[in-house]
Amino acid sequence: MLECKNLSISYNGKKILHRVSFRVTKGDIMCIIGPSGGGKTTLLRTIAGLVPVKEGQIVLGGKSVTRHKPEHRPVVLMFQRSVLFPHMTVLENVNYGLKLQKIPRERSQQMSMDILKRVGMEDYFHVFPYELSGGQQQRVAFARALVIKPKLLLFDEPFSSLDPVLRMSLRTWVRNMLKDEGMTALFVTHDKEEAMIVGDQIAVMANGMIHQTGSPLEVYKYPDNLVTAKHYSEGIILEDHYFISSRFLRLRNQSWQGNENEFTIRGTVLGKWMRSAQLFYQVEIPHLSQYIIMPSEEEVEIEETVQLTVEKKYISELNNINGEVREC
Amino acid sequence: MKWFNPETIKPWLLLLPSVIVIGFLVGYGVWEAIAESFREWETGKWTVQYYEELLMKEAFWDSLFLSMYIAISSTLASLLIGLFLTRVLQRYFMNYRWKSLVWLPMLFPHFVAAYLIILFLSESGILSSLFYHFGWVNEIADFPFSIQSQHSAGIIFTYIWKEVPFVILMLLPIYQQFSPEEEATVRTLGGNSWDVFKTTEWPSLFPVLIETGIILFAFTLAAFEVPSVLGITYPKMLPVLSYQWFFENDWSNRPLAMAVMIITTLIILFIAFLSFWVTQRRRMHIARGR
Repeated sequence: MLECKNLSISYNGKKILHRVSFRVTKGDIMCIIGPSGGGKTTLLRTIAGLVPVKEGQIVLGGKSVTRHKPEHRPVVLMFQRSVLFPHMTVLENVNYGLKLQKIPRERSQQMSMDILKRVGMEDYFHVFPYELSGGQQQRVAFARALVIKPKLLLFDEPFSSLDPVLRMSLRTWVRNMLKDEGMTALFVTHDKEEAMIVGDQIAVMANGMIHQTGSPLEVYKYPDNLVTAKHYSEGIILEDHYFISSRFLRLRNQSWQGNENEFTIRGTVLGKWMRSAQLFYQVEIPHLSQYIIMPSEEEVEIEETVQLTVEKKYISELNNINGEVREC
Repeated sequence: MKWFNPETIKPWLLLLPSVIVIGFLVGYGVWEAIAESFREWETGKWTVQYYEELLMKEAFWDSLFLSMYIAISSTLASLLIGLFLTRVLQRYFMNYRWKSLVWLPMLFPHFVAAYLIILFLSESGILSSLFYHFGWVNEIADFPFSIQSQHSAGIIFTYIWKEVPFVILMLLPIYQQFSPEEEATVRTLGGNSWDVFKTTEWPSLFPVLIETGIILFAFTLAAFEVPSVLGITYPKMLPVLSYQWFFENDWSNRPLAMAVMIITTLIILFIAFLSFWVTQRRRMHIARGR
């Protein structure tokens, strides 16, 4: 459905995207996760046609759209802000894309009202955007994008300005809506939990490159490079070359006597809290300058020294320590 | 008592100096002008005869049309050129040096600007001399551009040169608050560059353009220096006509001079109220929406 082949973008001699290649099948949602400045937004803008491509190709629905203007691509881009037009009512906003397509007024208004019903905003059709909450504005922006039936929806951290409760409810709501509509989507986020909930596929992106793609759990469990281990998976990185996944780590108190098959790391408890009936600890590992969050049944206090243990066989080697380009 | 509440009185006290200045200088001046235009100058009796007389004078109507023509054309041209320059050069205006260069004309008084136009563009100015020097005209008098023509090109040029920086000054903050997201949204919803302008820029620009336009129109319609330096003998712009009538030896024309200025003020007020009424609703939505 969407295929990016060796996309490269440079600006003022600096490489923003470097040979980015990936594929998203029809109806799938791919979440792109990674640190700020890694090229995620540029990638979305490039696919939307807002950044000219000099090297590489973008194929959508079997056709190359690499040289097409943004208005001629069946792609809609959504942002952190809803970017609703403040001088238009909710209905006029939703109707905007249909009006540009020159769909007769009566039909376009009906289509807009239908989509407003689907997003639960039909009662607000006559109000102006400033009268809506942040979440409602995002729903309207979503309706405005959906109503023109694009082949691909691009989301650039759409929920990052919302409060956590609203954010949580919108994640699943958007995923369900996209699935109901059979819409293919690329979803940029900083939040790995959000990426796991929303995405069918994950792409970890940093330094203008895609470092690993796969299903959310597969990539989480088996990071094969330093970038993925750092920015998506959870665990301890040793010498930038080895990785211990949190799944295999155990938190023990100071008196714990390990055996020869175990590898032990000392840390200090910085905080503890309950979540979902489970006790969590934030542990600092000073000599590695790393922090880790660990679930544990052990009763330890804040500032207490603890041991993190792992069976040596679970220490995995990161193949791609230099973050070299991976063909996905 | 509530009236003596310091918090209630404080804003009034703070406003008092400006209210006094406006009340006495402007208010009193306007009232005197109105009174003088409605009083017989010898007896002091109330009358509308000067307005009747004025409306019968061909010189007044010719001046009014000329003033409206100059005010409207220089205002529209300044707005269009200012809008174009702001839109095209907004990135450069972030740089202080570029900004200073564009705003330089604002430092010159209008009077000086009018003389600069004479210096450069008149039949005996620098440009005509250059044309002659390079052999593009046979005689200096053949220079094709006349600043003191019937079309009042010199006055209009002066106002454009002076007012375009003011338009840029007013529009630049609007352009600096636009984000690339707005353009991206319109483009990906299927809009072209014109739709981007119409949907994202124009609604914010329109009220500011109207406000700026009113300021420029009011200033141009009622200003004296430039038309007095660059204007032709007949017809004169309204302020020049009014000035001439006011300072004539014959005081009988003084009420006419005042009536001219009152009519000018009424035209400006009418246009200002009409424009604010048209833009008020849209301004509210834009202000709250951003």
